[in-house]
Amino acid sequence: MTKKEFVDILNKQLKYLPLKERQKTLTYYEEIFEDYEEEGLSEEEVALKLGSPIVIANEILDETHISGRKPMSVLMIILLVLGFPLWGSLVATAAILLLTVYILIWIPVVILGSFSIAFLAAGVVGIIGVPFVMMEGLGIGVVQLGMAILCVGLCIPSTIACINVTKHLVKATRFITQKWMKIFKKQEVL
Amino acid sequence: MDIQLKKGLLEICVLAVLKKEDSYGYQLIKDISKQIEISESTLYPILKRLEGSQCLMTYSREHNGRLRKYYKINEAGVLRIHEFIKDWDSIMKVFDFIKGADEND
Repeated sequence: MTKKEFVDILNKQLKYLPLKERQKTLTYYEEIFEDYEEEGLSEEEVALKLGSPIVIANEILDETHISGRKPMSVLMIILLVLGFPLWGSLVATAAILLLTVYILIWIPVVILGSFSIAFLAAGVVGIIGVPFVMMEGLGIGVVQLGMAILCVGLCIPSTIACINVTKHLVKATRFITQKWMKIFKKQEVL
Repeated sequence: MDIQLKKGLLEICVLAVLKKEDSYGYQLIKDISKQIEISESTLYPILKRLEGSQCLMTYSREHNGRLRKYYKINEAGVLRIHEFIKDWDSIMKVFDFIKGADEND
């Protein structure tokens, strides 16, 4: 761990401490780092000597009787319970909107997939039907064969397009989900 | 050593070092470590407490192009040392009492 990392973690852990107090603490540890470095120790060695900044921060918080997490007041809990009809429906709406976004994203895949399946089915059925249509008349049979082969041909680009779009959407979905997770995780830490 | 006892002793040790001359965090640890084990994270709250009870004051002085915080003992700090020494007789009496009780077992 470098000096910057150590100080950053300490700063984050002590965020409920008054600003002046926090700066004093950080200055103290920065100075310890600088003095050890003058003696020839590396930042990593000093950090190892000092131990975990999280443990140090907790000790300081214990000493000042400020817990790392602000406790929820009774009023806050009552408001949360009473407000459930309001925020509950808002959360539900948000969830449904999110779901809609995902469904909308996947619609192109469904359409392209349907295209390729439909073309393939039409082509196969068309080719199988050719001998029967031939009996009606050679001209109609040839047209039928041509259309069937065209269908099979169209099936190929739509399948390729479907696969490509799927690949990109998987990436996009993963990206969006990660973004969401990050937001939720941040709120959890708060 | 018992944590509470050690905390009390360390406070007096810090004051004792400062009585000789003004000092800074790193030097204090080096000086006190010769007598009793002390870490950087134990020293900090002690300094904070001593400053809070007016036993010491701080000032900054430049050192190698940076500011270093120095600690200076106050009158109240010197008094604390005297009180501690004065208290020692009664502490020793309690110690003898505890030791005697243990030996009578």
